[in-house]
Amino acid sequence: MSVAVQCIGFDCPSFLTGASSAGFDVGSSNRIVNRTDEEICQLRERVSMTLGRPLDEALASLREIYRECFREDWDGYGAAAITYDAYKEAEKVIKLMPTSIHMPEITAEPTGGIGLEWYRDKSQVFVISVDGKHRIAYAGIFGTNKIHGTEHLEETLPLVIIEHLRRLYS
Amino acid sequence: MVQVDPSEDLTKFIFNRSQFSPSNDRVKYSAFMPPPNRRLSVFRIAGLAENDVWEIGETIGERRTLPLLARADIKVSFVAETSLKIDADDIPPRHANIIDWPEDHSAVILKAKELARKAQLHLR
Repeated sequence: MSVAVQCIGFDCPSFLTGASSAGFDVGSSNRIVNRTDEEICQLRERVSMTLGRPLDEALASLREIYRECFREDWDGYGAAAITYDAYKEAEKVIKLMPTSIHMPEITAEPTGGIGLEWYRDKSQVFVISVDGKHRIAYAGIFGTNKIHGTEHLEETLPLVIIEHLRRLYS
Repeated sequence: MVQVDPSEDLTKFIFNRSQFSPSNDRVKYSAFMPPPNRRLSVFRIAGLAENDVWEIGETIGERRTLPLLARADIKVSFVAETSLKIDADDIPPRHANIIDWPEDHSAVILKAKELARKAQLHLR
């Protein structure tokens, strides 16, 4: 029995496009299995690179900000130091972000918090701020509507945060 | 309290690169957030030439051993629109503080965001 496989929208792995006249003794079957495994691994790596890069970039940016701002007065105006707890909490929030949501720009706040900012344009902006004390302060501008509030941070992102982010990109 | 004309420009000198975005040509809200003493330091730059404005920032940066990276200009009238006040103490000359910030942190972020979106970024 043969199976027709159509590759649409991505490169066909070579195991789907190999010569059809290849024999199927035990040795060649093993070779096909091994090659299939390799191709699947390569595909997985490709997908992981595509999805992982923005996350990696956001985490790298966060690390850099922490390195620059973990001492007091990092801004020249008497800013509070960014604490390790705030850094770890920001890292946790970034990792909890659904993959469908854009990665934020990261900024250090003079009060010692770390801000994550989603900016579409001047009238479509959403910010969340963490300070290592298990709370998320948020503020958003959606056209003429302005909102702000605070939520407790547990093991998942508060629904209200997800809803505002979806609103920003809807 | 010294009266400040609503048409005057204020500037906030920026010494940390996470507080502005050159690629989007914009100031981030964190540049307009007050420090723990709740007094946001700015300078009144009305009537100054561009070089003179930068010179003030360079002097501050030298004192604090931080490189001046950028500045954010904003009209006094925009500050008034966000219900914040300006305390022009003139120490050092032309210095002022934006004061009367709300207690709630998320409300502070919103006000800082409103100021940032009205500000004009200038890169050093």
